[in-house]
Amino acid sequence: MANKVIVAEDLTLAYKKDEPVIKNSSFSIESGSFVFITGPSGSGKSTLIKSFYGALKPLRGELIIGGVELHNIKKSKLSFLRKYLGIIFQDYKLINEWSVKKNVMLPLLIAGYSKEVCENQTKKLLKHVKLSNKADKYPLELSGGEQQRVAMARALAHNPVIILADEPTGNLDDYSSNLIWNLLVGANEQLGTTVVVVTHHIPSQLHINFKHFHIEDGTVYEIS
Amino acid sequence: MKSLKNHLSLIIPLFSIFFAIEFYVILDRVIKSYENNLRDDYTILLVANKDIKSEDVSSYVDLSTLEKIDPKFIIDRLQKDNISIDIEALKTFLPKFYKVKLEHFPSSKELKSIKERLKRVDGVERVETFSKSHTKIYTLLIVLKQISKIFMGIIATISFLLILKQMQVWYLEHKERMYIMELFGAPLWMRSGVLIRLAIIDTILSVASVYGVFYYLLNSNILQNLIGEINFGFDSSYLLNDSVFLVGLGLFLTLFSVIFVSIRQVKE
Repeated sequence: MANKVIVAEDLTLAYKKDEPVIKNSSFSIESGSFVFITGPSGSGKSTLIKSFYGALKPLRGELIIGGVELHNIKKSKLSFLRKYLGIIFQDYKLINEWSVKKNVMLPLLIAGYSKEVCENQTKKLLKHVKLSNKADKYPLELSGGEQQRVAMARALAHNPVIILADEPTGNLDDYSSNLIWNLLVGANEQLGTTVVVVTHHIPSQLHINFKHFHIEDGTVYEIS
Repeated sequence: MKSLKNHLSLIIPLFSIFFAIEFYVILDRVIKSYENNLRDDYTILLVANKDIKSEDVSSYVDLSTLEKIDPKFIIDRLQKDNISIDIEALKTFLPKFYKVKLEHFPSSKELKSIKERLKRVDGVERVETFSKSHTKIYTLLIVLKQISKIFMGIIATISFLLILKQMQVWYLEHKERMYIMELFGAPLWMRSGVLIRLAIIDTILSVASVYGVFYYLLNSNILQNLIGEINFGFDSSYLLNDSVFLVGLGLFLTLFSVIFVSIRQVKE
């Protein structure tokens, strides 16, 4: 049996106690798998992924990510978990006052790597996302697609165990979308990173084995 | 311009706190120096019917020195005035006079108690404390010290609240950046790095300003004359030592504010 990296048991998520967004859902995700979570707008896809990185504590039930019990965790202990996650947001969440290079370096700085290691790793990653020539630019000087590639490089920087992507291609053109999908697939296939993507549509051009969860009326169903 | 305004918003309250504290510290130093001068000049006169020793007196008061006054000066004076007396007889008849110097300069209240205690020393017949020589300047300085203590308290409280407010403003300004760093697992000190940097820079700038102002004031002619009057020797090394203390205090206050605001906002 494959090692389970995400386990939810009877999980209920809510912003207000009496208005649950996800209700009594149980599911699990194996290590090294590529997972899509789909559902209509407002179904709770982003809420679910938020709970995976600890931004929303379960109201009821259990949620275990990489062995860390998020239903019991104190907020001050979340930083420990997040060092093992790579997160990609639809709105990129780059630090606009920092250069592209420094943004990519962020997880490495947090992990305490030396300046030299940070510099080398950042250089490689920017080459990987085809942004070597933009290292000293600032996020607001880049296009949306380029910004998401910076976010992608940042998410990959510290070789995370899990990549969580919330509509990573939602605002992007085809070229940038393809690049992002290729990078996510590459991380999954070459590094064995577990990838969890929240999206409206599963891209048809992907040739990869994936698991598919769908959210409907607050319940998470496993489709395939 | 915005950055200057940002810095001034923290520098001004910090400057106020440091100025109030430094003013109080210098005033305290002036008073102590003035007390020492008064103490050196101040003596209590004891009249005794027999010889007394330092040990007899030190058990009653905080004694610095006990000095016997030679009766010769009284006899010399009488002789100068051509008064015919039997000097040898007078020597045996005259009481013993002593000058008492204390370890510290007593307050008017203490003086009454000292007088009572000295009267209890075996052989002492009379005690003269010259209580009127307690100077008005000294009383004025004590009043000034009390007032400055109250002002220091008020200024420190208001300024500290302003510092907290400014930290809150900065926190909101950098909230997004700190949130992103938090998402990637940055610890509190790293997330608050920008606030900590601002706090350190502004503390140092504030202390430097206070140092500059006091250095100028204490070296200005008007103050030099004033503090010269009361024999207060201004040593600039005092200011340097005080500055080190103020930097420490400033860092404590500002870093405490950063942590307090960051933790409070995270909880909210």
